[in-house]
Amino acid sequence: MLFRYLKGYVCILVSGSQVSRFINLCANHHIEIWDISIEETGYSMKMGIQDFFLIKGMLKKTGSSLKIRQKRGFTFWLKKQAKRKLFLAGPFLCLFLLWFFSHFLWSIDVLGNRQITKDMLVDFLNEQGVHYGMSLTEIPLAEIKLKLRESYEEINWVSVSVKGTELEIRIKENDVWSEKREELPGLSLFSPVDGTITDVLVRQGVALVKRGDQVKTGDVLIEGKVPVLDENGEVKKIEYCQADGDVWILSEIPIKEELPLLYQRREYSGQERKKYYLEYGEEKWGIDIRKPPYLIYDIVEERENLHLFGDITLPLTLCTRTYREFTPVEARYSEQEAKQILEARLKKIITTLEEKGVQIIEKNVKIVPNGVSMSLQGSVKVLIVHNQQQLDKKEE
Amino acid sequence: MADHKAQEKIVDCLELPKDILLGASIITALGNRELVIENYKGILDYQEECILLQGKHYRIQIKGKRLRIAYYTKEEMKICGCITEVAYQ
Repeated sequence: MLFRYLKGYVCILVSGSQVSRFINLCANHHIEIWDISIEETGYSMKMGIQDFFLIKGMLKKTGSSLKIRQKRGFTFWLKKQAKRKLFLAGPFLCLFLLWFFSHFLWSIDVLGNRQITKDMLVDFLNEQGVHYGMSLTEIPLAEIKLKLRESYEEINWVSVSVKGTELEIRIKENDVWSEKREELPGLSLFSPVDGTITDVLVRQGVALVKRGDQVKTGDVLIEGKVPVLDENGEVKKIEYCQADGDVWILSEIPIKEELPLLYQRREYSGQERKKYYLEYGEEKWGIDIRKPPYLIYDIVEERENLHLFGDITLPLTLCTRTYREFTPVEARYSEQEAKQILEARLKKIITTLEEKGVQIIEKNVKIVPNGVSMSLQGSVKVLIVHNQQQLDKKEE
Repeated sequence: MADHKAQEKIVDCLELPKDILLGASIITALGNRELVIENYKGILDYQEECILLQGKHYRIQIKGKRLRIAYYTKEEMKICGCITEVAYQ
């Protein structure tokens, strides 16, 4: 059926007295005909276009007349489509545009970066004259490599290559951890809390406290001074160093949290209204200047920067404003609820301490009703291990 | 007639193709809706209710309603429609 269509065929009406003879003649001349049926005015049948041109003689012989009813076939369809030039030009134009745009840069990919963000690099590239939409052949690859290594000290290794319409930049950064910080002369270890010393382990420096000593916040625990003695046992000179060691301090941390029982809660009615608008720089399109729909409400605004191909940021932002209606309700925590909330807070405090490496020895915390509020009162006995690493951690 | 009989016997024994050697037409019927006919000489008459074909030694008459020819070539033809009778003359 498909081949018949591709080759093209005609639907004809043959009338006369000797049509049967005509059919026989067709068969003898190897002309294929099909869908033969009888109509009032004659016999209708279908045959291929090539064969159609050969039947003139046969028609004459049998004295039959011919009428073309329909022309079907690929060639006929093409002729029809030739009238719709623009439609036909469409796919070609599309392919051409695709080919044309593949000569430009549309995406920048950065791999292996940790400290340096992609945005930073893209801004840097823009300064160097590399931006989205520029011709691929104009990208100065060697220059980019050089400039990147020059401008960023953290970058150890750079590879810049063009993959399709994407600029791929691979970098390897310095390991920051191995970098040495400048050492100040003679840093001492100070006590972070009030408490009692239970143990001291010195690695560098001189300990000024020993077990059993009471210390206050800020007292020096280990001094960053190491006296160097000569043969007579006298101090020849003092060497300064970074005090290092572990000091165990037993301390009591007071805890006080207060929770007022009366509070205001937002009871959302569930009614929401969403409004959308586009922002372009300073201009906003689509924003409603009508009054907000509810009397009392809060607004949740979501902003989304629009992207092209997931990479190229357009200067357009889509903002969604959700107006949520609520009624402010005066509520009161029940005793049970208040207790739960305070206990949760206590738990959080303890977890924070434990994460810092503090050991909890004893908990002396009570929940006490206090008129219009409930409070958490008491203290926690802890064992703190204090050393330079703690301070380093804090600095991070 | 004796000729024919001998001929038939020989063809039968040696299992040779009968349609070629004896000039017999092959009719394949699909229900009463379709007929595929092979090995004929030509069409003698084609009407809506009756088709007359010429075989080698006899004629084939097909009677029915709304008979149409699906395709017609030198070797094979197919008749579609409501077939009521197939007769040899």
